[in-house]
This record gives sequence, C-alpha cells and structure tokens, in this order.
Amino acid sequence: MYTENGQQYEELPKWVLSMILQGYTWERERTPWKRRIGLVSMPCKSVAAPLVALGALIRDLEREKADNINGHFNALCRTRDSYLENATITNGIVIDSRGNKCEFYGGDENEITVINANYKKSVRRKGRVIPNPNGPCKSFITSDNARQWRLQGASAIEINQAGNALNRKGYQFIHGCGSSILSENLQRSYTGLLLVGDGEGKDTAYMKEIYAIGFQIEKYKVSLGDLLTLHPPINGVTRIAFSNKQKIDHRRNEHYLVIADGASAFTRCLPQFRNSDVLGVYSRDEPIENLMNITSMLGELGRYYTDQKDRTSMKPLPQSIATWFLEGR
Amino acid sequence: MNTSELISHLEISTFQIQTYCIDSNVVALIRRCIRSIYTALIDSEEDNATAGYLRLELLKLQSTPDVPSLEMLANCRLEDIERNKNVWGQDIANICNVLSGAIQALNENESPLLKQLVEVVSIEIEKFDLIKIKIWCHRKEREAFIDLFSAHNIELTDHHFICSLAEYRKTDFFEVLVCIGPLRSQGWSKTPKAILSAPRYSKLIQFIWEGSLDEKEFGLDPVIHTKDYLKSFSQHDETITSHIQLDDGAVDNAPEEIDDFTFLAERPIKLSHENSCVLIEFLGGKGVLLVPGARQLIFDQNAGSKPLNYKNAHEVESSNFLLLHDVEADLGSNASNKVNGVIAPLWKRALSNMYNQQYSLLMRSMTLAGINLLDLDRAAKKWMQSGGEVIYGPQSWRHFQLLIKSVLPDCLENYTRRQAWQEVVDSRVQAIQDGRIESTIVNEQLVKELYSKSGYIKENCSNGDFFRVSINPESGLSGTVSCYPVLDVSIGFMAPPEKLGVIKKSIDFEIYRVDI
Repeated sequence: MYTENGQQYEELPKWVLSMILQGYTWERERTPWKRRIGLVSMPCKSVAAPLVALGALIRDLEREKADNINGHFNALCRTRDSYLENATITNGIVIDSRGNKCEFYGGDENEITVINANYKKSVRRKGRVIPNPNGPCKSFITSDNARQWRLQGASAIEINQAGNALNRKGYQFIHGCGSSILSENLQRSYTGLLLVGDGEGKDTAYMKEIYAIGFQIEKYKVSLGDLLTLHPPINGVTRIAFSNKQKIDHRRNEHYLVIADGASAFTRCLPQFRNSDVLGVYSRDEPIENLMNITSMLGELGRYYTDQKDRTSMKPLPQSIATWFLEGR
Repeated sequence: MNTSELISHLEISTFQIQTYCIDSNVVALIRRCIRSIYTALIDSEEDNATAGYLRLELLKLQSTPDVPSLEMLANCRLEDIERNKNVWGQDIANICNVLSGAIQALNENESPLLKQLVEVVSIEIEKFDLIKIKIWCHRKEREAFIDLFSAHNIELTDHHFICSLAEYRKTDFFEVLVCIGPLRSQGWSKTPKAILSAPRYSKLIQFIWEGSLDEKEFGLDPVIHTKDYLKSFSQHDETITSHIQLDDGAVDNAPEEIDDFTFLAERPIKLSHENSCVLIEFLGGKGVLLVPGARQLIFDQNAGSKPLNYKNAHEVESSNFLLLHDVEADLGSNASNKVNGVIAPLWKRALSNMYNQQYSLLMRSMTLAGINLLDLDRAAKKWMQSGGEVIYGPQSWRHFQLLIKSVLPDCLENYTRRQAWQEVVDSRVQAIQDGRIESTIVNEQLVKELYSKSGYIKENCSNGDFFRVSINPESGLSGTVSCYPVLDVSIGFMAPPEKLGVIKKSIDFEIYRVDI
C-alpha cells in the first residue's frame, strides 16, 4: 500500500515505481569511467527525486563494499592530526558505539589515542588550580576497531546492536528490487549517494513532503523519509547523504551519484560534483528562467557528452514524465 | 491535488485546443496603421517615447479584452491633424486619420473577438458550470474581463482567473481554460509552458486575431526538446470573419506577412544606454527596474519560519513582497567621516592660493605639465576641496605627480610625492571599506529589526497592499522600509542607469522592453 499526503493507494502508482526503478537501475549497462548526467521532467513539484534516491539506496544495500568502512581509520587519523595542530578549527570529539564521547589525544599512524571528553586537565585544590594529578583514561582506536568510532556529527560507521539495524522488509516492496540485500549493509552507513534539495530539518516544508509519503508492507508501515534514513537516530545507520542546495560548497566530492531535486539544485550540482554522476529532477511548472539555465548549461557541455537514447526506453514511463540521459564521450 | 492524481489525470484524459481566429478588417487596419506610424518614428529616431507607447498598444491588442480607444492617439500626441502634418508630414497625418476612423468604427461596433468570447464561454458554462471554467490573463486585465462578462450577466470572481504560474500550480482540476492571444513563453503576454506540458484542464480555448502566431516551440519540454506535449492535444481551428464597412480609401485587405511580435523585434527602439534589467511590477500599476543579479530583500509569506530573505532580482516571485528601503546605519560621528590628512592640506593650500591669485598661470602650468583633462578648472576646484569622506585629488598617480612636481613644486615641505599620493589612496580605500561595513551592518541589523516586527509585517502582507515599516532609531538604524506586493517579474529589459531602482508607472518602462 502506498500513501501520498494522506491518500491511500492499494497499488504502487506507476510513476512511483518508475522513479524507484530509475534509481535502482542507474548503475546498470554503463561504462564505469564515463560520467553520466540524467534529467527527469515532471509535470509538477513532486517527491520524484527522493524516490529515485530510494531506488539507488536499495541497489546500494545489495552491493558489497557499499559502506564507509574503507578509509575510515585514515580519515580519523587525518582529523586527529588536524585537531592536535589547531583545536579551534577542527572537531576533536569521537563517539564510540556505546555513546561514550572521547577527545583526540595523540597516537601515531597505526593507532589513535583518545581520552574521555569529560576529563579535566586541571583541578582546584585548596583554592589553587593545579594540573590534574590523575591522568586521563585512554582508549585506543586502531584500523581493526575504527568502525566502532565515529566523529561527532557524523553517522555511525557500523552498529553492533541488531535492533538498531535497518529493517530489510522496508526495502523489499517491489518485486525483483531489494531481494538480495546484504545483512551487513543494514548495519553500516554509506554516503556514496547524495540527495540535494531544500530544507534540512525534519520540520521544513521540503522534508514534511517526503515524510508524508508512506509505504505499507503487510503490517509494517514506514515513511519515505525513514527509508531514506534522512534523519537517523543517535548512533543510527544512514545510507544517504543529504545537503541543502545552498550548502553544497561544503561537501566533499566523494559521491558516486548526486540526485538534485529542482532546476536550481541541478545547475548548482553539475559544476560542483565534477567526478560524480548527476541526476536532476525538475518540474515543468518551475519558473522558465530556472529551466533555461539548465538548457544553457547543457548546451555548453553538449560536445563532451553523447545521448543515451537506448536507456530512455529501459523502463515504461507515464506519458507525462520525460527523461534524458547523457554519457561522457 | 497530489502528484499521483495529476499524473493519473494526464494519463487518462483527452486534451483539446480550440482556436478561434478572428479575421476583422478594422483590427487589421488598426494594426497596419500603428505599424506604419511606428516604423516612421523608429526611422526618424526622434521620439522614442511615442514609439514605445505605440509598441505597447500593438502588443496589448494581442492579449487584452479591451479595444483601443482614441485616448491612445492623445497619449501619443497624434490627435492633432495640423501638428501631425507639420511634425511628421502629410503621409503620417493621413495614416493617423485612418487610424482614428478605424478606432472609432471598432468602438461603435462590438469587438468581434469579445462577441465570440462571450458566446463560446456561455456555451461552455452551460456544459460544465461556471466553476469549471478559468481564464488565463494578466492580473491587470482581470477587471476588464469581469466588466465584460458582467454586461452579459456572467458574474466572474477572482476564483475564475489564473494570472501567474504560482496560481496555476495551486489550481485543482477544471474543465476549460480560456485565453486571449498567441501562446508565448517569453516577452509580452507570456504564458507558462506548463499549461500545455502539465494541463490541469481538458479543453483550452484560445482567441487570437488573424495573423497572430503561437511560439513554435511552446509545446516542447523546456529542457528535453525532443518531447512535444502538443501531440497529446487534438487541435481544432475556426476562423470567424467580421467585416465592417469603412471609408473606401481606408480599406486595404493585403494580409501582413509577419506577425506583430516579429515586426517589432525587427524594429527595436534604439536605446543609448544599455543595462540589462528586470521589471518588477507591483499592484497598483507601478513597477521598478532592477539589475538581474542585484540582491533584494523580500518577504515571502510561504517561506515558513524564515520569511525574510535576500534574493536576486530575477528570482523574486509574484507572491513575494519586495522590501525597498532608505535605511542608514548610525555609526556615530568619528574622525573617519571628515578626512583631511596630514600632507593633503599642504598641497591643497598651495593649489588654492595659486587658483585664487594666479589662475591663468595655474591653468597654463597644468596644461604644459601634461594634465590632459577636458575641464581643468573643474578638476582644480574639486582637488582644492577639503573634508568629506575622502581626500579629493587627481584620479591617477601620473596626474598627481605632474601636479606636485611641475605645477606646485616645493609645496610638500619634508614629505615626498609618494607619501602624499599614498595618503590620498589610503583615504579612498578607507572610504570603500567604511561603505561596505555600513552596508553589511545595515543588511544584518535590518533583517533582525524586521524579524522583531514580523507579526506586523505578516498581518499587512496578508492584506496584499503596499505598506511601510518605520525602523526604530534605538536599533542603530534610521529610515523606512517600503513593502511592495509583487505582481509579476519580467526579464528582457534594457534601461539607462538612472532609471534603475526608480519606482514609476510600469507602463512607462515598456519603452525599455527588448524582449518583445
């Protein structure tokens, strides 16, 4: 069962299915080293972009090594070095899987030493402030246990408690899609996929629209926002990165696919994420000036890309939805 | 209406465009006369204002339910036969006469387009009920439609009109959309392409004058040009002929080869200054021209918890309120407000003495030294001035060096020319920085101050009319903020710099429209 703004549908609408499958099949039949650009033209403002993201997310759950474990220890080492050099500009707090907060303290390239974040370096004795005679309680992060640690503000790399893992059932409501999800991926975060849209907090109008979309699989009810793990619980798993279109300058170019919701998000993402595939979803009732920006931008890029006409016919689309795919020469 | 409902509607519905093409000899004659006079004015390059007004009349004729009146000739100062003869010659005077007769004839008889419009809409009302019919028009034309239909006992309300893309987006399904004029996505009487690419109705009824053409690519997807949504419409055209007997000399049935938009685009009004700008129209017929990238403070009622935002001028939307202000920051009086410098008084005093006592020698010395400015007297007077926010002096190091070295030797006592020049430059840099700081302070503080009055602003915005907000001097700012309800934003204007930011009747800005 599918719910859209309170209205229930017994069957998944054709366009919803098409959008999810667009994301799910994005990686299919492609030349890996060639960048791809996709456009989806919608008749009105919709949640098509988050639905495409859901399809891509389900595909990621089926892929081996679609997680943030690889390189995580090195990333922690770099953050530690940066923090110890200048504590004012870098976040130096790491959190373990039990929620304990620690602060970078030292170490070398094979080991990171952290101390309890609540440790006081000086104490008051007889009215005088003296160095704390009791040393800090140290913990050590190595490449083996690094996945238990995460930077404050970042999502958990891997969670131990199976209870906090994502529910497999939520991703298996389409026949042939999500059938081979790997159990370990349900406990691991991954930020290879980026959704760029408006808002950020759960209370923004943009997010409310996403959370207003619901799926029911037997008795299990879940919203699109929860499936996308846009706002995971503390120490929870997130399988997608989200950015407000105004803040994409702060993001690293580490995503294999960027899904841009709206014409202005697309025109911002295309030059920003040069190493990523970019899929833009726009509404035809957006102001014409915004849409003309896409046309002029693609006009400039045109000579470096070729049309992927065969791809457009891969999935049956409703007549009112049009797609266009380009692949780097 | 949610997305699934709309897409389902687009899948299962059949769509139709019914075009009524009105062939009227009087309207054709009016258009031909306006074209002739316009061409003469453009060729003479003497009266751009009248040419602009005539162009507007020709454009209005395409999409408005109003018919031209004799007032048009008065506004163009073309109503006086003798004056026309003297100023523009016999030919134009004759054309003006014919135009006057044609306008009178059209006003005495009912406009064939309006007659057809009322007839067709009446039939559709019988079929579907009035509530299922909507009219697409410019907001300014809404009253004209209401009056027109009211005369035929059809009472329209605001609910029956769609005047902007934002309104179209919010509209639920209906049966019939009525519009006057060709379908164009840009320029005058633009209509969003969404009405064809995402129809929320079943039947589009269009009324056009003979010779008006739709934009060729109107049915195409705005980005994916291989997709043509017009193909999902069945099209029916019907020509309605209406001929009124005119004076023999005035009748000329030769059809025009090009439509009015192409005609006007081929004969642009030549403007001496060219700054690309956008026209933001307000309720009440006023508007302002702004540079497209200019950051403008707006109040957006639909933006939730952050209604006050800065937007680029071309991104302002029709539901926004544009906030224009004359607010200044009271930074207190400090030394930076009056800059005299240490070295500047020395050379300024010497220059002043020479100006007052040896004026001819000063002018000759400046010329011989190589200070090749057009108005040396004005330059010398300016450089002598003291006080103000900068040290006034020559704009270039070369002129400054020549002034001190050749015209005013030994005036700097122990200081060097380089030190004196550095003082001038530093004062300019400081002034720029002060200006920026003040601007930043105003921008930040003003938004804070306006948020503290957001309740008052919201209440007034909901009324939809212009209003002002006074800024409390205790906030460190002084001035007022004028809040204008935005009606429409049109790109494609070129105007001289002095017209930018000036609020005037929007009709007066039509002369600067480049994108016809």
